[in-house]
Amino acid sequence: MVDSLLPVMWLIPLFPALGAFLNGFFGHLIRKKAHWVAIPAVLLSFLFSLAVFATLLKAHHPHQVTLYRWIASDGFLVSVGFLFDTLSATMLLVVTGVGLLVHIYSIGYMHEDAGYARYFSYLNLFIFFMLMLVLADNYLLMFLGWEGVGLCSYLLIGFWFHKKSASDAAKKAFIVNRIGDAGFILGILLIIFMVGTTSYAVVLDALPHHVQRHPMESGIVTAIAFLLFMGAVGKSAQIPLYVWLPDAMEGPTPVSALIHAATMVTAGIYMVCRSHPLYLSAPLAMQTIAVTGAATALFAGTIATVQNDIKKVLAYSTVSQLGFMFLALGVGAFVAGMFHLVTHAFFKGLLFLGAGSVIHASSNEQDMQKLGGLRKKLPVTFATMLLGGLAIAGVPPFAGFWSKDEILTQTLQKGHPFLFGIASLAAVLTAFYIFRLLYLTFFGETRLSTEAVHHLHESPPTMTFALLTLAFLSLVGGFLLGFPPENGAFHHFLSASIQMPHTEHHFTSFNLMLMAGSVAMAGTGWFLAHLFYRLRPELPARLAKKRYVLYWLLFNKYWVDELYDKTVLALSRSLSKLSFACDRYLIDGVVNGAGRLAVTLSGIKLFFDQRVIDGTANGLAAATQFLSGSFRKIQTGGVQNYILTMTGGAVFLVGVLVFLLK
Amino acid sequence: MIPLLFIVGLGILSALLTITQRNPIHSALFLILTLLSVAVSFLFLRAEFLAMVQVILYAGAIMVLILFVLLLTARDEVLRRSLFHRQTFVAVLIAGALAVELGYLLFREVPPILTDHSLPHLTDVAQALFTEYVFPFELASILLLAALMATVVIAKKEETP
Amino acid sequence: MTVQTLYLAFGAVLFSLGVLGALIRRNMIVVLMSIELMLNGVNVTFVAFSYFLRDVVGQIFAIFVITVAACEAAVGLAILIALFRLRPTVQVDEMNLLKW
Repeated sequence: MVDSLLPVMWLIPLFPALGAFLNGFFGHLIRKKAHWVAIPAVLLSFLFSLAVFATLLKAHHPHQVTLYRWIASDGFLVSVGFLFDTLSATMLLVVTGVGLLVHIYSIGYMHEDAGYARYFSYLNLFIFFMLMLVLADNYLLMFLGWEGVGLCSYLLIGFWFHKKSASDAAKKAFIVNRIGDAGFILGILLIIFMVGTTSYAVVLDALPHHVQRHPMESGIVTAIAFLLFMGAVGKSAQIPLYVWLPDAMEGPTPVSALIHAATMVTAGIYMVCRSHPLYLSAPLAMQTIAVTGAATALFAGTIATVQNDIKKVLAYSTVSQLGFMFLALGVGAFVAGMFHLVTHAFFKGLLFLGAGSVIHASSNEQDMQKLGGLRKKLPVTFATMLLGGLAIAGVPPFAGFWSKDEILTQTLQKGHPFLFGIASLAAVLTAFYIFRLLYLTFFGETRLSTEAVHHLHESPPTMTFALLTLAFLSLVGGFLLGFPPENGAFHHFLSASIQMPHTEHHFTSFNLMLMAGSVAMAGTGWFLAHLFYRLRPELPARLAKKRYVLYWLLFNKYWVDELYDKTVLALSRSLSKLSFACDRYLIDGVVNGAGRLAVTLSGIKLFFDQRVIDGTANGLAAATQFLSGSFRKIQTGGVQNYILTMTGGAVFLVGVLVFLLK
Repeated sequence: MIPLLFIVGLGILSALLTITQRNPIHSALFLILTLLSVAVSFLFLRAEFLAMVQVILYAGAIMVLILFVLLLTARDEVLRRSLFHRQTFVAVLIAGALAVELGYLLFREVPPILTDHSLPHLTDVAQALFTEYVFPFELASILLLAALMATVVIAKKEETP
Repeated sequence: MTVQTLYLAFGAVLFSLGVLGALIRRNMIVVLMSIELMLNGVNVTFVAFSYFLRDVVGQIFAIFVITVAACEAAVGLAILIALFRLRPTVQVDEMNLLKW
């Protein structure tokens, strides 16, 4: 039955597109009922995605659908087409599944908001673009989705646009993304230049072959790999373009959960996985990816340890986890990276939604220093967040353990001990900051105002449903998908799309040792958090005072934003001032100059005009006067004078006649 | 020929005297003499009617009129003031030039006397006047009438109420 | 000296003398008389030609000339009388009201 549905699978992105359209243009009519349009749209997409998944589960071969020709110019052809393979199916489920849960959660969370319909419209629109990104069968179409999710991110971060901080954050997100996108575009252009098309099938076959045949020309392919990765750096918030993600927390929390944890930020990971043949042919690029990932993982992790805003902790945590994923990709463990993507979607989505629940319950209090002791009043939220925390920390048998451990193992096994060390440190920090968050928020005495305490209540079922679902997935998802390590169902499923040189996966004692090590890292982190925030709560303050330089550095996020502002932004500001000045003086110069020229010319003309015209007129008058003055003397009044003159004339004429004209 | 010469000479002489006499009455008298000599010269040309008309009209009517006016406007100072105009010199030149031109024309080509035709007789004159030239004749009558009226109107004394 | 030359010279001389008189004399009546003299010279020429060319038209024309001379003399003298009433003079150069 599901097989017969394959021909219509291309409808998957269209349901949310329709939903976005309806809510966008007619939302003001239904207002409070907007979710009746949005939810079914996503639900349908999810069900269809399940169907796709089921089909591919049985037979792993990919299915491609071309809808229509988009660009057809001389020799260059781009069509709108979808590729349904195991990789895209995985992403489909993540996007539509988590998307559906976030939509349901939003019913409760955004209940009182005035822009309810607008919110759902944007959310649907996002799903549409993300699905386009994921399903595209060529780079240009993927880029369409890429840009589209960037747009939706902007719209949703700046959802409460009346707040300056929100609109600033939205702009920052979009602009920083754009920097990455510039690289992405250049990469696509190079691809077109090299191969003549952007279709995955052609490109991912041609380029590696090209490198094989012409090893000397591997530079261009590496360049393409780097440029595409630049886009990923922007979209997936790695160093140095991660700065937008913490600011993006200005948006509604469900948005943070969906876009900035589960889906959009993972687009970069997906893209690299999709292009893995290309990356395998560009080892330099892969090294860079791995180093960037590891560095980001550690860097962001350090910042997360001292943040007080609950969402900021989670934001930096996301950056850090994305770093883990890129590390995996960089060392060649593509499947491991995807695995972590999926588990991360579960537990990070859960953590964000839980944080939303906390914020919603505490009368919009986000500062953890003002929270505490919420365990009793928010039991469901607490339980689910605890599960999420355990998952992210990498405690077995929760989801995060399996994926993170696999990454660490692969890193070490593929011969990157230094990176392994960095990643391990990051893992310890992960456990530390997440338990810190849990302790500060749920344990101890509450620091909320009595007013707020009064309002404390568990979230409505629409919200808790999502929490519970994700908690369940965080609990068993990792085990179900990823056990045995590197040989689990997930790996088998994905290996159809990601052809790797087959290596025997033996579960050795070495692996076991590493697993123990991972557990130890988690345990260490937990212990430190327990120490600092349960046993000796005065320690953090004392340490902060003693090592205040370090503390200041971390708390102020290494002043990266300030650095950017002083360098890049200052440069861009002065450039724009320069162009403005240029523009103004040039344009004004020309205009004023023209004006002055006209005035001068007319002045000359006036002068000339006056002299000449007046001169002529006056001259004429004077001449007339003179002449008439002379000629009037002829009028003597004497008749005989007249007769004389006449006679004289007549005689003269006669003389002429007689003597000259014979 | 000789008598003709005499008459012509008389005419020229009296014309000369006409324009050079101080007393205008003397000028008038000499003019009459000129007119009469012209009339006689007409006789020599067998234009009897015209000679008669000349004597009756010109010497008779017109000169009488002039004499009347002369007598009406006689003033003493006429005799005391200078006779000739200031522009006399130039006038003499011009008149002389005229005379020269005319003389030149005269002596260059002499018109022949067409003896094969008949001399115009009075009857011819009368006939022509009342057939071919009747229109100018009538016009001349109207002109005379007009002149008559004009004269009366212009010379009338202004009426005082 | 043919008879033609004589008559034409007569006419020419009369005419010239008439012109001279009209230009020279200060007395207006003498001027009028000079004009009559001119007309006479013309008449002589006309009639002479009538005789030479055996054509009657010369005489006809001479009649008309005399007629016109009569009118003109009459009207001219009338004007002179009228002017005389204005200024009691017949000197031409004192009739200069049209002077500039």
